[in-house]
Amino acid sequence: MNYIKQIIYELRNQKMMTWVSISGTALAIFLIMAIFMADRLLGISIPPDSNRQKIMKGQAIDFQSEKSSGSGMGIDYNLAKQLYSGLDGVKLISYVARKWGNSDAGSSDGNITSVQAMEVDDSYWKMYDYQFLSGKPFDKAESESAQNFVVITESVARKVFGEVNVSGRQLDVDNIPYFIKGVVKDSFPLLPDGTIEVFLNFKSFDTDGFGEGIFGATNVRLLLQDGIDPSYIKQQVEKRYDDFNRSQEENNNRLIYHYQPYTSEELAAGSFGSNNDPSLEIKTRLKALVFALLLILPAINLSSMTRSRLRTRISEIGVRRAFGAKKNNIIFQIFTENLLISFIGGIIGLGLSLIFLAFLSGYFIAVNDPTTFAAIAPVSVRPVIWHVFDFSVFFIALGACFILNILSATIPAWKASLVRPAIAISKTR
Amino acid sequence: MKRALLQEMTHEWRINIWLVVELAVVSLAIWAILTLLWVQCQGLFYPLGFNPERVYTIDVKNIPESSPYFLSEYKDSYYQDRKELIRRLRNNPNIEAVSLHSNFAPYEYNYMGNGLFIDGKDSIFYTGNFRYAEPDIIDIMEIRSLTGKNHRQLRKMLSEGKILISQHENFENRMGDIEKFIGKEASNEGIRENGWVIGDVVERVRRSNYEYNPEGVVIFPIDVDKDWGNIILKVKPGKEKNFIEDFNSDRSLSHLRNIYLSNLKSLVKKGESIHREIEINIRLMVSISFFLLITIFLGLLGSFWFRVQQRISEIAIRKTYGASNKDLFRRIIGEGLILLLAGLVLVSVCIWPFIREITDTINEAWWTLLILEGIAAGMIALCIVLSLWYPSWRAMKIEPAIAVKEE
Repeated sequence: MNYIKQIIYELRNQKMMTWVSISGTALAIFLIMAIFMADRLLGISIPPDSNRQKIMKGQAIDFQSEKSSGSGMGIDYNLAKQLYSGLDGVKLISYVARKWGNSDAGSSDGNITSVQAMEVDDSYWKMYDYQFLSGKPFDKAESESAQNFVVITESVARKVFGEVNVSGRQLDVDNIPYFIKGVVKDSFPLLPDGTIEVFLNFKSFDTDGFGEGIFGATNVRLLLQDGIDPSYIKQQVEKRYDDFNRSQEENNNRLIYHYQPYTSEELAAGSFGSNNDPSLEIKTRLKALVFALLLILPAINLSSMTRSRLRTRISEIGVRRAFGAKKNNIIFQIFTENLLISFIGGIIGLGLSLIFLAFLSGYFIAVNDPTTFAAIAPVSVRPVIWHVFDFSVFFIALGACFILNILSATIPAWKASLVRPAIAISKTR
Repeated sequence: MKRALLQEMTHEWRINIWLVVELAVVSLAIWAILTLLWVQCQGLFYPLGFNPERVYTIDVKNIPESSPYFLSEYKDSYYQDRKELIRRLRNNPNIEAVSLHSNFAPYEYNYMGNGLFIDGKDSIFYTGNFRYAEPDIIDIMEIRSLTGKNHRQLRKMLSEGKILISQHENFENRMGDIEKFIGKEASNEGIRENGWVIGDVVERVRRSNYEYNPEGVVIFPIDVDKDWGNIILKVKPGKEKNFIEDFNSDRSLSHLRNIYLSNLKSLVKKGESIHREIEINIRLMVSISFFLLITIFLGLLGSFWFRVQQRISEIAIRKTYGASNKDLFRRIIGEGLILLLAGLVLVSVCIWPFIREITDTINEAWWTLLILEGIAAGMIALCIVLSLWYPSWRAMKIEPAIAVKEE
């Protein structure tokens, strides 16, 4: 108790320094937590992507032959089936095909709007938990029929028809009429399919001569069974690649395996391409470097301040040592004092980072159109901020404060504990 | 005085070493961020090569044969119908000029391009981004000749089948003045056997405001009867309001048989969209630098607060011996700046072995890095001055008699 009283007295007695230390810590924790939570947003698992951590994606192909070589982000449907269907440990497989560029969506009696469209099969609706505001998804029979069915988002329904209850009506997408099966709630735009506004039933079964049975428009989504390790799936797919290459040996055709299918973590890191291996290493190193910089710099600052502050208290420490205070007691007190400053600063910093994300995220986060690479719009993360803030974030902030404290107070506390009473007291005379 | 200052600083070497390390780490971080900012933003200092004001792009699409709207009797009239739609646009009272183009619209990051052999010689090889358009593109984009030709002359060259090439730093470094190639024939076997005559040298049409590319741009005439393409147009002054709405509501402008025009977008808005990501990166880097500078400000304020407090009596004695406030400020701030200098030397020594690798990676000369280091040092020096000013001002405000009373 005496310790606490003394600490509070010291902090109140040196107001300026207390505020400088608290501000420095708050700033450091603010930066660390803002970056940490913003990074978390890129991998967030919320509806309709609640299964995100269990979904792997096969979406690139790298091909070499005597005639031609190349790579692309879309696969021929039959090849996609050959490589990915019937894998052990996979609960559900879905085939999708992203439409390149913008499509026109409109009705003869409504407005025409520019939308992002994707073809999906019936399994897609079982893999993702979209909230239907009207109607329902297309089923297997509808998905495979020659007729055209579509599910649209609420914002497209409002733009084209001015209302949400439009199931059963006709929507023209790129001048092809579709029957509207349902209307879903808009998704958070930072989700992988968050910018898709129109879901057409899957039609990209056939590829023309251009794709040579290799390239196409198809991407594969695999929902893993509980407890299945992604590396187990990768091993099976690698074997399928080997089988394909063996069957094509005579023609000198070869598929190059790049560790497909990709996990949500590999995709969120953006570290994959159609002709290179995904690598989390660079991103992990960069993150570690940024966090280290943000911890070490304030730690050096606080350490210098603590040393300076302790020098003014050298006689006090000398007197306490002369009256029998142990080295450990001195170290413990300095640590506690610093930790209190770190915690106060940490709480302020954490609060600031939440305010920053809630109100200023639009200035720093934008959602990109994956086909044109242009940023479509700034993103406000306010609707999902509580999904990235949980107890783990609080404990990480607490841990960061503790590390900051150890880094900044260890040397000054140890040096102060070594003070010899006689010298300490005589120096002040 | 300088020797005394250095002597005094060596007495405090333990704390000073920490400060030097801190200043070195912050200077390195600020220097790295400034270098990245320079690499991303240097394009802003070069001419854009076009004027995006009042310019709009439109995609030309065709109704698929699988659609019930497809008119099979017109399945072979694509080029004819496209020409008719372009003619209708040209006759629209709100539109100033229209051109069919391929890969001409900026802000799309199309890297289609190749090389041209000039004068039939393999050794004279001009590489660049290939752009195709009708002669009206000159007025739409306000292409500027570097040899003083006017728009009418440039348009005439394109209509005669000549090509326009842009300035090209890498080519000019090898071959000298580029204007001497005007009138020479350029060919690319992969595209055309006979080649084209170079009509003029124009300002480079860049893909974005931030792009810096020392390669060239070649403007080719487009063949409206057989080449694939989209449409680019310029609206008359004062007619931009409601242009998109009016265009979308008039089907006779946008639909003809199996062809329709879609995705009408203002080039200015496209630019804003494509630049947003770069601008967010820039904003992020500037914010991190700002926070690092505040961190260094607080750190120095904290460290020097006690140091100056401990030296109140010394300051008082100096004042009684005739030192002015200015002298004392200079002394205290000099101490901070010497620490910064030591930090910069430390950073430079650590970076020097990698300097070649860095300059090669970012394609910049070593002196650019030196200038950026100077700017980083200047920013940190400003922080040092600001953080030292308040504690020293407070210390100097105390009357010497009161300050030395205890002594």
